Amino acid sequence: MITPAHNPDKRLVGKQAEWQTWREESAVSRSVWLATFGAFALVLALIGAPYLALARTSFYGFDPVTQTYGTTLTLDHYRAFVDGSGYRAALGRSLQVSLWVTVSCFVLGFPVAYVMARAGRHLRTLLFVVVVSSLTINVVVRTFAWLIILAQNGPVNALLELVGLGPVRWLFNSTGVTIGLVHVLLPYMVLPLYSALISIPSTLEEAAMSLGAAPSVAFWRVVLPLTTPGIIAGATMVFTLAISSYVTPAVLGGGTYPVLTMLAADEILISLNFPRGSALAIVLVLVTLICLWCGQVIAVRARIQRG
Amino acid sequence: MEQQRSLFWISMLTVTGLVVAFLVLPLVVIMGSSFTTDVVVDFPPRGFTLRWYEKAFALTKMQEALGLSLWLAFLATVVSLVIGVGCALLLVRGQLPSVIRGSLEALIMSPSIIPQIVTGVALIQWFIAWQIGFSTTSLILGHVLLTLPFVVRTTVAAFMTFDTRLEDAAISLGATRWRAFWSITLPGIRPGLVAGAAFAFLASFDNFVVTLFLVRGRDTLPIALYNYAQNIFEPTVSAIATVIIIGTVILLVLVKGATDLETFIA
Repeated sequence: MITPAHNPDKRLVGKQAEWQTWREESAVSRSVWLATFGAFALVLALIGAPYLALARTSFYGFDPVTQTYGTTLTLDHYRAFVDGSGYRAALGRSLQVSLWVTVSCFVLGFPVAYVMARAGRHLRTLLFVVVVSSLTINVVVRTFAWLIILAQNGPVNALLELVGLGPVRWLFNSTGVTIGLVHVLLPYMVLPLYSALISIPSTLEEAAMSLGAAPSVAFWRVVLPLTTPGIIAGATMVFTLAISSYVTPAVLGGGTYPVLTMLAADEILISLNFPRGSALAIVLVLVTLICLWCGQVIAVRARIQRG
Repeated sequence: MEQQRSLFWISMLTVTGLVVAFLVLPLVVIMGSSFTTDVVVDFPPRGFTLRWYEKAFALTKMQEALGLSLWLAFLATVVSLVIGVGCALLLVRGQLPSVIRGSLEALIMSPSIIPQIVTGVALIQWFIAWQIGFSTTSLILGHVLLTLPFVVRTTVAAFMTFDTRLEDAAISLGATRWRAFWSITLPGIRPGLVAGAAFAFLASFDNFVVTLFLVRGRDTLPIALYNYAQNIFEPTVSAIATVIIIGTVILLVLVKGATDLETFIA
């Protein structure tokens, strides 16, 4: 993510040479060495260690009567995840909703990013303000807004009844959760797409069209392939955020549509079963990491393909 | 061909218009429903009254929650800025070997990548083990972890574009290292600092999931609002939500005057 601003040639030198230089230079500036050490100590104690402790707790046994956990190691909680259909079903729901949310965000977000990249200054600023402000408005606030809009006797159903399509059950199922999450996560798709699109000169499209390609062909064969890095970045971001979301599924899905994050939170906050909750959290981390890794692999493949 | 082209552009514009409506709709509904004279939340609102705002401001639980949220966001932002500038300086100028730089950066950024619910569960166990449990200290530490990635990201970006020759010039003219840093470097990276501080403040003020695990016996505003709405879903909820929306917009407008947010988001 960060490349050294100074001396870019340094990356060409081998790892060993890099260490060598660093050691020589750090002999001069001991403060840098001290600062690195301090930063690492701080970051490890505050960030790294809690995650490691979490992983360890997930292997401890739990006594539901005394609500305490011992230090004997066991695989019970992971076994419960594999055997118990409840947890697997919850993971399935999480994956399904996240997939739908990602696809919807792409379909809705692409035109917005495209218009932002190709429009004049005023329209671009306006769209930017709308997208960013929706990014910064509290998720709890936005989720309760959808509770009002999609309610059984809410405005959407009132409109549908007017045209005779009857009240639709929007809430406490995957539909409500998907709509709420698309609203929350759309900016995370639009912004990387916009970054990718703005770097494609519009002259490329014009060149394709002046050579006889229809606008839709120019779009499919020229613009879309060049946007691939943005699409992958946006899609991984939206998918991982969707699968780890808690507030939106808890309010709009409720107890009738439990996803994995809700079960994990309930284990900790209600059952006080820290080991079980930790195991579910670890599963969630693994799913997230696999998803990020897949995104990386696809991104690399796409880069190779384009040569 | 020209016709086809404008047709394509018009269809893109139409979808964009619909998406903008979709994004704005919930905000309109929340604000509108806060003025209804009805006792249940509905949209479009019936009549006009400000009594839900009166009721919202009179709730002691909400006052306390707002106080805690503002205090927490302020402290977390200040601590994050101090640590974040140090970390960014180390990452950009430290000339660290790529392994060390990479792992340091990965650790700092991990709370923004790992699901927040995991961070919450991990932190509360860790804090209980360290005997600081549900204290204000653990709340602040938790929020610093959450806000640090925002500060580091924007400050690193600002450091990368800062011309270090300005600093060298100050030093060659007789300024000490510290003096040069204070009077030349810090003002130079100010846009990054302001953007980072704004994101950090909002991230802390709006946080729900990690905070949920770290508070007991008191609430931050998002949690108080959530609990209140779960019990009594009346227009007071919309009134509180409207106040939060307006506060956020004011903060964004203020920040927009001091920095170009676009460079730090996209």
